[in-house]
Amino acid sequence: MAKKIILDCDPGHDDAIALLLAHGSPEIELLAVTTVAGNQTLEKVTRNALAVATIGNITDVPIAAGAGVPLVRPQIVAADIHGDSGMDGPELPEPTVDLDPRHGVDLIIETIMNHPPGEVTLVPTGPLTNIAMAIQREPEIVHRVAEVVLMGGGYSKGNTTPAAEFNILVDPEAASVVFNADWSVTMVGLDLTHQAVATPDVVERFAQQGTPASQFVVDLLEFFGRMYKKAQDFDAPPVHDACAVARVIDPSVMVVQPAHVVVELAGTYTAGMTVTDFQGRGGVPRRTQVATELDRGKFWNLVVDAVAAVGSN
Amino acid sequence: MSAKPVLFDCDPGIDDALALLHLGGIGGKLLGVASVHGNVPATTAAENAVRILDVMDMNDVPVWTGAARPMAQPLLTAEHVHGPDGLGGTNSGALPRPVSDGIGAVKIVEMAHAHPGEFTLVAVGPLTNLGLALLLEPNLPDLIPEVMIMGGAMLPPGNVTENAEANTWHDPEASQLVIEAAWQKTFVTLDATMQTVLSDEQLGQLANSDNPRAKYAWSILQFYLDAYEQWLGRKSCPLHDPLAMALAFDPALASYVTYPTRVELRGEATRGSLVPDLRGIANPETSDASGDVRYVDELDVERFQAKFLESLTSDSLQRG
Repeated sequence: MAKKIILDCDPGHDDAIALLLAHGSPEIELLAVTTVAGNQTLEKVTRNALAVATIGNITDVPIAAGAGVPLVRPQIVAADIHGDSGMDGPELPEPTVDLDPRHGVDLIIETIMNHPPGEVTLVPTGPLTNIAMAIQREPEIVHRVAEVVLMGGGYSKGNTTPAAEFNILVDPEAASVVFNADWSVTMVGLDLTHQAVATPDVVERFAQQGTPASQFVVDLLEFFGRMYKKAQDFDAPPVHDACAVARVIDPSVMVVQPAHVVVELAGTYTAGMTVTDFQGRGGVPRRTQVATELDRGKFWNLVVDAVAAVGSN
Repeated sequence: MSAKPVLFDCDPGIDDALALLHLGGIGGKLLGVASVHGNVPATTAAENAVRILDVMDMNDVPVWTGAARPMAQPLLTAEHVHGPDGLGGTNSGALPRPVSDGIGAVKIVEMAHAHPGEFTLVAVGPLTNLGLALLLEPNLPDLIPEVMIMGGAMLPPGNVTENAEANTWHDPEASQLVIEAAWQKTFVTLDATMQTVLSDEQLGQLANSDNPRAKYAWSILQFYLDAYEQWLGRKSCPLHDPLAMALAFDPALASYVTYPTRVELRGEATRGSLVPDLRGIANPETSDASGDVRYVDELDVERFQAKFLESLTSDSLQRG
């Protein structure tokens, strides 16, 4: 049976690929898409989500806009990586998919509460503002979702700062709420996602499909690759967010290890750091599953097949 | 062996004692010892240094008492790891000689003026004395080109908080002063020292040696081995402070890597932790090279352990 997920995202190049992966995979039933300010402003990432839905022909899934600012901190965006539009590079169509009028946080809560306990998986790939707000507004969701598989954080280093990864840095307070809630969290962080780089051979596999969806992915990766080279000296761009979706499709696509994870809220240099203790020093429970190792072959097969499925629709 | 003598800043402390015994065993030259709060209060640490040096008949080495507490937080000691007296409960009898006159931080400055560029400063406790010395003498980095420090952790876990190692956590402000100073600083972190946990066979070499250094080491180690059993799951221990001492005399035991680094002063889970920038990209905020810290990259664990054990068990007591 396909796994039911809510994708909470901030497209974003890699969010767009995550969305196509979720839509194109037979293992996933996409219940809802919610957007959150992150890679760019809420207005921009929401427009991008609708554009991706238009390209992918995702017409039967509600898409709603969520939180426009972090809980506590001033907003930051990632124009250095995603460009001014949040998804620079490909030419985007005028969206033909409508925005759901509900607030994203309400859509998350309604979707979870309208399903039996243990059936819905939450996949956040942006800052965790919507998820934290949903918990505050309806604490019962914590006991109803099957699990949370999020892209964010890291255990050996950050990207936006030496210690912090972008999604967590944008809204550390929200992240702290999500990591501390009494549900199962899998952290798919930088240590994992930096293994999911779209090397030229991978890009070629998309190019060969020759569909509008695959050409869109090629265009995304081409721009994303240039930005990653410039900003972080990567030879190929890491498609972070698709890794979280891939974990839901096939857990064996990555190795996870239990750890005690604390989100630093107060540090000058460490705010937004996911302090990850795999040893559970002092006997502290290791409640978070932290992704460590990616099966690259399996991962790219999932993404390539899903984009092919989207293209053939 | 590196020819430069050592000025030793420490808080003995059982592994501090092992570091001194190692120095004695390899015939390293020791210009003086400054004590600092940390494992035990600074006065106790100074008396312990006197007792340890007496084991090796090194009673001509001055021992000064250093800073009594951290710069900006209360004193916290670790008798649960090092014993009520800091030496595993082995202390007995009168001190063989009194602690020397003078204040640790002041003596570091005076020694630097008297021997400019001529010694390596090895610091294996909280960095309060070094911070104070830098405040007293801003030119200290010109006079002491190189410091070798046991402290910090590059990756969690630390050993006092989720992310912080005891020495940097005991005085984060002093640690930041040391990192900002323009001397070459090597931080021998938990990432390196936790690789040095001794095997039963290696501990047996210490237990069975008649050498006075080994016999003394074995007597003070019993408390430490018991304390570490709760973390390691077996009776053994890592060689934190001896590793820093060994690298000061024989840097070739390891390779090194340099990262721009800060000390977190404000964090909840991270106050007192080192924040190395491992991203390998230019960061305008840390482009000032004074924040560059050298870390152990690859450590030749076997060779270090062998050297350490030989230095305690070998019969010939060389004097530098």
